[in-house]
Amino acid sequence: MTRNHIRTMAAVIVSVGALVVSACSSSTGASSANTSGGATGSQQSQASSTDTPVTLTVWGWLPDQASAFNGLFAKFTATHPNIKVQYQGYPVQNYQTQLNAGLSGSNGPDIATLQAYGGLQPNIDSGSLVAITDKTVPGISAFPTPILDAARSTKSGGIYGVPYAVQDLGVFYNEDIFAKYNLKAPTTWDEFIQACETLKKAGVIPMSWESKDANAQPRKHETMGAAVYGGPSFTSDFLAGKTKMTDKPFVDSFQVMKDIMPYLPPDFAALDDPGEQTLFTSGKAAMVTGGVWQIDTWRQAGVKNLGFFPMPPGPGAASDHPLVTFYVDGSFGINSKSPHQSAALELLNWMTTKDFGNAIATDVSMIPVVPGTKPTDPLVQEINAIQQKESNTFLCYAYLNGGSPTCSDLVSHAVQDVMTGGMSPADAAASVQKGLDQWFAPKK
Amino acid sequence: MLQSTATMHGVTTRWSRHAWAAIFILPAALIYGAFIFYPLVATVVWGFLEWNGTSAVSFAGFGNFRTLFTLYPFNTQLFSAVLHNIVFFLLSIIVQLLFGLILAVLLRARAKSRVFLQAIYTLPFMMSPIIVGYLWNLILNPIFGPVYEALHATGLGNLYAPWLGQSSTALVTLSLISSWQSIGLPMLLFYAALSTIPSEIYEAAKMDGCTGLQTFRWIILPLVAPTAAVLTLLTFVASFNLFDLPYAVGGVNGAPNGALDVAGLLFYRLAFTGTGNGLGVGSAMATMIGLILLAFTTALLWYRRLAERWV
Repeated sequence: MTRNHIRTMAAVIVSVGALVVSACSSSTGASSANTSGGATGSQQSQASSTDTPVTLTVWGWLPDQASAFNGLFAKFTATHPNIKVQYQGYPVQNYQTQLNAGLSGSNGPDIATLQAYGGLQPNIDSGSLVAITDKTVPGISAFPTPILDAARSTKSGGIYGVPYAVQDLGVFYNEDIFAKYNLKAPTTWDEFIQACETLKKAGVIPMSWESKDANAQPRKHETMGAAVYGGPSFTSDFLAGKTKMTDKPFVDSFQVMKDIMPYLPPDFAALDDPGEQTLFTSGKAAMVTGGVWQIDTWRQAGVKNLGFFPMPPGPGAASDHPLVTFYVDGSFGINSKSPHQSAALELLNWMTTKDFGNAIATDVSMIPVVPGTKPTDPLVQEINAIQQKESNTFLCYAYLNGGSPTCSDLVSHAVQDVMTGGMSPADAAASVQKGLDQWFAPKK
Repeated sequence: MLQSTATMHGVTTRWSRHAWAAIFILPAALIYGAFIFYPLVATVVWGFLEWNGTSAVSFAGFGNFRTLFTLYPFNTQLFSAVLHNIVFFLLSIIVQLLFGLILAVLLRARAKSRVFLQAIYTLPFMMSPIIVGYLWNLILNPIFGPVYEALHATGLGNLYAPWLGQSSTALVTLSLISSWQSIGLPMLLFYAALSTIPSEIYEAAKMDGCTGLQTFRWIILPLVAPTAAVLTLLTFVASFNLFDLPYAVGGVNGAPNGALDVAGLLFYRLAFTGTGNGLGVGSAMATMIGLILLAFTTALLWYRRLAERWV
């Protein structure tokens, strides 16, 4: 080997070694900085007082409603003149990745919309969020426990965000099309089939559907199958270890999705989410499954008269009445690296007031969770009223997404396999149970 | 031996030449280091750590790799995903080599419209794969799509099938869409290769009485073989890095029914939609994909060296 070769080799080895060391240290260095920041975040006294003008950035996953949110937060600025709030929305598919990067780096938001339940645990565990207590945010003690659970750490039980809205799922229909064929919102399974048959004969696709959006599949499963698997009673039995998904009720919840296939668009396996929405808003399909957050979009796209009904349970269903599945949409939490801790806390405190709750209802058409507030849109009020009586928490999302593979991922694949792959409902349910058995332990 | 007996003067000039070379290379080296080398090394390192969100918790050894092969459903999805990548590659390479060469030969015959044709054929290559995916999803849509409308309007309705909605046809259709998008590159590369063949060789072949087909087999093919090898390599790498197109067409699960599930989509699900140790398992998966690419590249280059001896 010539001297030059040796020199070159040495240089390469040194630089690779330096990179390896920096790769290791940056990953562990970041964690130590985060945990120390997070633990003392709530006790830190920040230099920023509310006397100096401050702009708080709030990140969220609703870019289409960014201006609505900014209008909502303008109400806060009206009573807190020195604190402006800027909402930035990112597409929901990439939001968590974006947020993780922002929270671990230095360009993160002051306040972030946090996923509910299992989704926010990694952010809590890496110390990116500030714990809130009823000393720092007194208003949270008035929130019902199931709502607060959505912002709770599964390890410590501490609360890390202020929940802001719940979402309800169900079947929405075009009232004009129904009126044209003298149909009413079905309250029983037979009425539902009857309506579908009438629509199909008239050349209207009874229910719009798609199978490509992975996130939507578990929601569709809940909408069609919650009453079939029995909703809350199944959930509590499952969490206690008394029943499994391979038992009849849950298997049947996949069967019902096969049962409605004659009434879905032909070749629905080739449709994606925009296709499903277009079929419904263009009037080619009379019904669609979805959630309250889509109401504004459908109305703007041309569905003037929108109706709602919870899916009636079929014969042999575990529940004898329809159920409306709901879940907490998310909460707002404070970035432990934010330089505006006290201003952010003021905003969070405002989020426990009725002003905020009412603004959530009027400005972004969501169902607020602040006690004493109600949605203002008549349709949303109607849905909320049904949900209060016949309620079901979104099983996967609320309780079974805390490990890997997540229940949502498993159900998403199971629904696609049953509806587009010819898998039997029993095998589909078994695949979900098999995946969960690897990490989920019931609390007996 | 020469170096140790070099004069002081000789060593100084050699040193200053190297110093100048290093200075000029430095900016490119820094960029390469920061954007290619560092992420590469970091990914491999991260695959050996256990993560909770964005902070590394402990050293995991081969634990993440073991998870890839043992955690259901990812272990079964892993094999089907890699299989889909391989099938996609085989389909792509056949179509692109064949049609790339044909188009290049046709292009050589045209003098007037050559530049214009080159531009059109390369245009889809400029489009983002996401746009191409959504576009073709719309074109082949079974309810509003123009293909459906056109076939039914001309009475050929029974030729139509929801190709992107059936497990049996989705992957083939996707590879055709991808070939449509990237046909410009093989065409240009083959055109350049064909242009380097001196016309004397063609004349000599004609004088020796070669038919068109013989000319093709014995003159054109061997001389474009290196280009074909380069294209094979590039296509293999692109096929294994595939993400945007199947994501746009089939969503993150590679619908319908996982027919479009590829290594890139599985990596995305592991890294970003799971909880906790996503970065660890995802990095392990990325490292594995990298190793597959490295193995194939090495094998191909080794084969080329062998082949050059007796082609």
